[in-house]
Amino acid sequence: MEDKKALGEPVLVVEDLQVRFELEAETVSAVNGISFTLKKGHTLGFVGETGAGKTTTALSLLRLVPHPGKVESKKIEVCGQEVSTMTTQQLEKYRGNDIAMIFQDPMTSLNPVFTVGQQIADTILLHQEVSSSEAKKKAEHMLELVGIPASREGEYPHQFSGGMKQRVVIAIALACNPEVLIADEPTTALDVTIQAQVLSMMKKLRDERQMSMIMITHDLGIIADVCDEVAVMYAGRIVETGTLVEVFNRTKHPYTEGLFNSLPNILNRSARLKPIPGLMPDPSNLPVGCSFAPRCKYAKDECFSAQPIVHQFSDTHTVACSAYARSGFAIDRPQKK
Amino acid sequence: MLRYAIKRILLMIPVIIGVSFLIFFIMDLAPGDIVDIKLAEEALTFEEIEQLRETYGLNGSVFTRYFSYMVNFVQGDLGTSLVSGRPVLDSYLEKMPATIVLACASIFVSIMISIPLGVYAAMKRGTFADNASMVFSFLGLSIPNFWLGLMLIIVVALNVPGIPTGGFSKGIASVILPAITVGTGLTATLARTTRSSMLDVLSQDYLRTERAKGHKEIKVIMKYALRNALIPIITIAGGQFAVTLGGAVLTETVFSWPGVGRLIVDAVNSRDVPMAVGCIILKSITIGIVVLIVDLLYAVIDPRIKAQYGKRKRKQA
Ligand SMILES: Nc1ncnc2c1ncn2[C@@H]1O[C@H](COP(=O)(O)OP(=O)(O)OP(=O)(O)O)[C@@H](O)[C@H]1O
Ligand SMILES: [Mg+2]
Repeated sequence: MEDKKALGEPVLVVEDLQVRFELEAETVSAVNGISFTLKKGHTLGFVGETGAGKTTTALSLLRLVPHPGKVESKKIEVCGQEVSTMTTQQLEKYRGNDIAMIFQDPMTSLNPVFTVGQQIADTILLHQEVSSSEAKKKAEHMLELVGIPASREGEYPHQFSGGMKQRVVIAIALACNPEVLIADEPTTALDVTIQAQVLSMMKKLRDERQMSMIMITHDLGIIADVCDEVAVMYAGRIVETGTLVEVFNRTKHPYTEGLFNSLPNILNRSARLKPIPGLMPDPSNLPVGCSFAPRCKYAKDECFSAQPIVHQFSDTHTVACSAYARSGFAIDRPQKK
Repeated sequence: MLRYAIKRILLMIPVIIGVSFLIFFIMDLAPGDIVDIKLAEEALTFEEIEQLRETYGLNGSVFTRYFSYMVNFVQGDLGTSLVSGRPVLDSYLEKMPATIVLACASIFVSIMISIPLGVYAAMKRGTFADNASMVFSFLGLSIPNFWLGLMLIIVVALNVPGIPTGGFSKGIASVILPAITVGTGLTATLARTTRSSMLDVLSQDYLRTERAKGHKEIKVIMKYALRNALIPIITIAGGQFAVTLGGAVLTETVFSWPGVGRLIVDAVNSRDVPMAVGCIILKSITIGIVVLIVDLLYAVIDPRIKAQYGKRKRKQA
C-alpha cells in the first residue's frame, strides 16, 4: 500500500497477460493476451462461460497460477507495484495485504484442522504489528462483520454450513483491508436468499472501505447488481468490455448477445430460450481466426481466417469483432440508451 | 471419548485370551520341555522327572493347563519363571526401562530422518531429488538390522572414544548406536507414508488460501500442510513405536541390550512357559495401549475425528 490512490484512479493495470499450461501432451492456452484496468473504488465484472480463463486471470494477479502454468505479461501493476518482478519477500507482503482473493469453492478453501478464528487471525498477525490476543479480537470483529457471532471463533470449518464458510472466506480476504479484492464466484455455492445476503454485505463493505473489486461470475444478474464495468471473456480473451450500461444496453459482441439470449425472459415466457449453439473451443487447440466464429450466426469467411479486429465504440467501450468492419453491421439485440 | 477409550480397553480382553492361548499352544507343540533341558544337564531318575513335571505344572492336557494359568492370571498372578524362580512381572518390569529408552530413541531417530525426507520428496515430486531420497530411505529398510548394528560397532564404537560397543550402563552414549540401528529400519516406511500423505495434502485448495494470505512457503508446508498430513504419519510411527516397545530382539542381541526382547526369546528357548506367556501378554497389553493412545491423538490433531467421539455439535446457516 505504498501510494493511496484517489477514487477513480487506476489501482490495477494489466497489459497483454498470457497464461499457458504446458502439459506433456499439449499446451493449454488458458489466457491469451488480455488487458484491463481497474479504478479505485470501482468494481469490474468478469463474465464468461466455464473454462473461459477467469480464475486463471485472477490467480495471475496474485502470482498463484499453479504449476505447470507459465505467465507472461507486459505489465501487471497493482497499487503502483509491478507484480511479475516482485521478490519473494515483496510478494509475501503484497498478498493478503494489498490484494486478497475470495476463492471459488468455500467448501475446500478453509484449512480443516485450524479454527476459523485462527485462520482469520493469522493473516492479521502476518501483516499488522499486533499481539496475538489483539489479532484474535480483530478476527472476532471480522466474523461479526460478515454476520457470524464472535462466539463461534473457536469452531472448525466442518462445524459451519456452506454459507457460513463462504462468509469466513470473505472475512479472511477482508481481514487486512486490501486495496483490491478479487471475488471468484463468491456466491455460486449458496442458495438464493443467502446469495443476496452475502452480495449486499460485500457491497456494503466495499463501499465503506472504498475497495476496488474484481467480481468473477457466470451470472449477469450479479454483474448488473454490483459492477461498474464489465469484461466479457471468451476462450481466454476479452471480447467486449465497457461500462455496465454500455455492455448491457448497447451490446455489440455476438457472444455477449448470446449470453443475454440464454437468460429466461420473464416478460415473455413463451419465447424460447436461445442458448448459444456448440461449445467453447478446446483451449489446447484454438482456431486461427476468431474463437467464437464457429458458434457465431454472423460469422463470415474473414472471421475464420484472421484474429478479430478491435473496435472502439467509446473511450470505455471496446469490442473485438471483425463484423463491424462491414458497413451497416448490427447485431439483432436492440440497442437502448 | 472416555467411553471410547473404555470400550477399546475392554476389546483388549479377547485379544489377550487369543494371544495367550496361541502362545501356550505353540509352546506345547514345540519339541521338548524344561525338564528335557534339565535332563541334558544332569541325570535324573524317572521319579524325579515325574516329580519335576508335577511341580512345574507340565502334566495334563494343554487346555487344563491353560485354564489353570488363566485362573491365576485373572487374580493378577502372572506366575513365576521356571528357570529363575522369580515372578514374571518383576523380571519384565526390570527389563522395561532399557526397552523404553531404546524405543523412544529409535522412533526419534526415525522421525527426524523420515519426515523431512518425505516432505522434501513430496515437494520435489518426480524429480531426481525425490527418487534419490526414496532410494535412500529404501536402503534403510533393506539393510539387515544385525548387520548395520555390527557395522556401527566396528566402524564407530571401536574408533570413537566414549561410545560403548554394548550394554546400557553409559547413559546417552550407550543408546546412540542401538537407536540408529533400529531407527534406520523404521525410516523407510515412515518416509514413504509422509511423502504420499503430503502429496495428497499439497494439492488441496486450502493451501492456496494460506499462500494468498502471504505466508512463507516453508510455513505453508511445515505448518498448514503437515498438520493435515499427520494422521497417516502418526499411525505408522505409533505402530512402529508400539512394536519396538515389545522388544527389538536382533538389535538387543547385537548390543547386549538388557531389554524385554531378549527376555522373551530366552524364555522360549528354555521352554520357560509361564515366563514366555506372561511376557507376551504384557507385550500385547503395551502394544494395545500405545495404539489406543495414538488413536486418541487423532482427535487432538483433527477436529473432525474428535467430533465423531464426542456429542454432535450444532450446525446452522
Ligand atoms: N492447473 C491447470 N492445468 C492445466 N490446465 C488448467 C489448469 N488450470 C486451469 N486450466 C485450464 O485453463 C482454462 C481456464 O480455466 P479457468 O479455471 O481459469 O476457467 P474459469 O473461467 O475460471 O472457469 P469456471 O467458470 O468454471 O470457474 C481451462 O481450459 C482449464 O482447463
Ligand atoms: Mg473459475
